[in-house]
Amino acid sequence: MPNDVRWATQPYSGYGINGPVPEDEELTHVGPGTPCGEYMRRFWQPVAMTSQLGDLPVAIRILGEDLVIFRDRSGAIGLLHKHCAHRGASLEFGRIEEHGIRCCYHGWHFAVDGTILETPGEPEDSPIRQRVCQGAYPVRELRGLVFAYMGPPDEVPEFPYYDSIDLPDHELLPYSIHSPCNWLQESENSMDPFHSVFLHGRNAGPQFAGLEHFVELPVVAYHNRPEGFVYSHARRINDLVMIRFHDHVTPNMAQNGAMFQNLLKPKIFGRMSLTKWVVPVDDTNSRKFGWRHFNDKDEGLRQGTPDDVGWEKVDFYGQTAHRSYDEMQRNPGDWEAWSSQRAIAVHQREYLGTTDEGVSKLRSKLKRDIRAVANGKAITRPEGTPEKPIHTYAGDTTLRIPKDNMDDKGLMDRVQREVYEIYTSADGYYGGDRVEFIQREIEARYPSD
Amino acid sequence: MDQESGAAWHLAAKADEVEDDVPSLVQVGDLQIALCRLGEEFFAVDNICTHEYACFTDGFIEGDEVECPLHQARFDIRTGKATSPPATVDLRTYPVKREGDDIYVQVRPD
Repeated sequence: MPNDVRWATQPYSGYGINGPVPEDEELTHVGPGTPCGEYMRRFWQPVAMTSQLGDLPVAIRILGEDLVIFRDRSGAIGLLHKHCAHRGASLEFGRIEEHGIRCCYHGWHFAVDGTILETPGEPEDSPIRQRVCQGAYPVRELRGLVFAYMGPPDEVPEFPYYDSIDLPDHELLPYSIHSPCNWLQESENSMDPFHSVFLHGRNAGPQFAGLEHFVELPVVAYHNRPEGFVYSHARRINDLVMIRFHDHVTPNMAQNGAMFQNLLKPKIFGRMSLTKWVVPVDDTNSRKFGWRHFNDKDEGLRQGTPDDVGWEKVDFYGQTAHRSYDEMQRNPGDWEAWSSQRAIAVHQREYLGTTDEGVSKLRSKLKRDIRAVANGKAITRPEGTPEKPIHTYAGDTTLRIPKDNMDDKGLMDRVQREVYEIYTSADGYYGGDRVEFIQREIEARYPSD
Repeated sequence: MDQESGAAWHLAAKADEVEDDVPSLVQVGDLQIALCRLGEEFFAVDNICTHEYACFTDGFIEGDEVECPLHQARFDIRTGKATSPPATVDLRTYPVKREGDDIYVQVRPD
């Protein structure tokens, strides 16, 4: 595609770039049978909050599929194709039973796994029950979220259990927020440490208490991992080097560092304030599901309460549609940024720069993994159990290190890479042992006094 | 060492470590080289795009071409030729030889 179709290259030359430029379908289209949709269906994905599950079924849309989710009267959760296997009436109008759900139209009764329990209008000896099932997916409920596996039934992976699910002093509050755009552009926000400088710092003033230092450009270090990325960004305030680590587990899970904390003092291996997934609803809608980590021990600057976290709400700025247009224009947040990159961002129209290294790394890895799945090859998925959870690294370390007047950026680059090496050298340890090992090693390398 | 030209062969990688969908980084002093695999053949080109600063080791291999992760410029892996905009300048290529499982890349001093 010639340059002058993708980008205006002369002043006052908007006219030349009015032609259509297609989006990158391979990375953005998620329906059944699409390359990215097939790839995403190889992972457990959050699809609902348990607080949605009352005495009525709920119609939802995930990965371009229309589904219905409900909790039956025995407590089991069912995730079924929305349209009844009989005549296609929506099961959102069905009746929840002791076990499963019954279609309103002709009374067909389905178990949570899709098995037909009863076809009451048919003869007693009807073989229909043995021949047909309602489409269904396995689910797993955890800490207020419902996860589902929507891929090939003979390839169900173990549910990936992260260390962040069971951290001492952390209360996990589930939340979910809709964005009217493709999943990838929202997910890319978490691989972009530079947007914080502008969107959250310089544009309309600092948006997050405790993160006022984000107005400075960081020194960034990216680390490729088989299951995704860890990256860190470092900044200096006087004699403190403040290092923030992020996890990005492909395709769409991310964790970031602390919020509402005073980071202006030495700190070693602080942990995450958010664990989140950007789940495609369809090609042009996404829904974030995640846990806000309330950490009463460290979040001294927090104003929000648990009531501020939940369906379509979370206790930090700029995450939802629910502000006035005037406020959105005067102090835009993350939601305005990713939702306004078009319904599906057009990569061929973008002109990436040095700040976009994380975004380009993410796209390349997604493309490689999508093609691996398409070619029947293995991809790396995170594996962990409650006993031996998946190690993650997100959080903050602040070290007291005098400024290097010759090359302070080089120093910050080196220090954050050394800290990452110490973090990963503790991978053989779990829980408190891991934390102690990391604290001891970093203390030894960078004494705080 | 080739006595005439001063070109040296550098051990670049083990053959089975080079993936077919992404180039492997070969560092020779300050020089970054992208080692690419096409089936059982190996080729070496500059790792930095001629358009703007980006590494092909962050990109991927598409057919017989390497695609830049920033602006989707493409280059023929065999010849280094720029095949798709925005790049217009070709990549340098480097001779490659295989001895058993070892892949070597030849670099001439400037």
